[in-house]
Amino acid sequence: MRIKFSDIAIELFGICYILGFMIFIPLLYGTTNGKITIWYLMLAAWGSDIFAYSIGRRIGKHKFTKISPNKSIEGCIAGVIGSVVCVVIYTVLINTIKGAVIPYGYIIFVGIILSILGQCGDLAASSIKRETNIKDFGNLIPGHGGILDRMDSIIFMAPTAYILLMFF
Amino acid sequence: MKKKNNTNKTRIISAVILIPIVVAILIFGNKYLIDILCSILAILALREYFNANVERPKEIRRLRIFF
Repeated sequence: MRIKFSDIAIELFGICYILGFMIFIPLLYGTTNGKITIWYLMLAAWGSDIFAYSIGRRIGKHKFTKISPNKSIEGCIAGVIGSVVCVVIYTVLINTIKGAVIPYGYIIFVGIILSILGQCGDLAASSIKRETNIKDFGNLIPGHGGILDRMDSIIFMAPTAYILLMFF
Repeated sequence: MKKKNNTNKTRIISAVILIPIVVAILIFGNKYLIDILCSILAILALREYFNANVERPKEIRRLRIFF
């Protein structure tokens, strides 16, 4: 079989995409207030996923992209709102309980950016699956389509979350 | 339809089991535990990615020996 540039690119992309991006999760956790800031990453990802899935399923009518036909524009907007709601509620709790002064405007910005990146990660994983003609990456987490499918949004969010939150 | 409902049920059950575990690890874990868990997850994710891309030339697949 002849080696094509695309073969090398796809192979190296996987290594850089997964290892290069995922290394920012322990880096974020290792910062001064890592135990607090890591939750922004998790809550943005979970809030975005849960809101996008549940709202998109109920009221989603307009298709978002051909890469992932189940995603709707309504779901994507709900994902952004969900992410912002989750991080703002968390910030209220942190500011109240721990006496921190984390600015809400900045946190709303972080929520929006992380949610958009998470949805890009979802689309990237869908695009890989479509390209390789598989339905699920694996069955290690039943019903979730594999670890990569579950982690795709967090992987994409991690570098930006680290840059945006490392100073807290 | 029934299959889809079962998949949703499996999805929810997995999430209900896994989310508390992740929450507990993040709250009570330390830096080294997170490092180790992230490494394990990264290798598993990479293996899934490589398994999805099985039809690559042998020379390219040799790169995977490190993972």
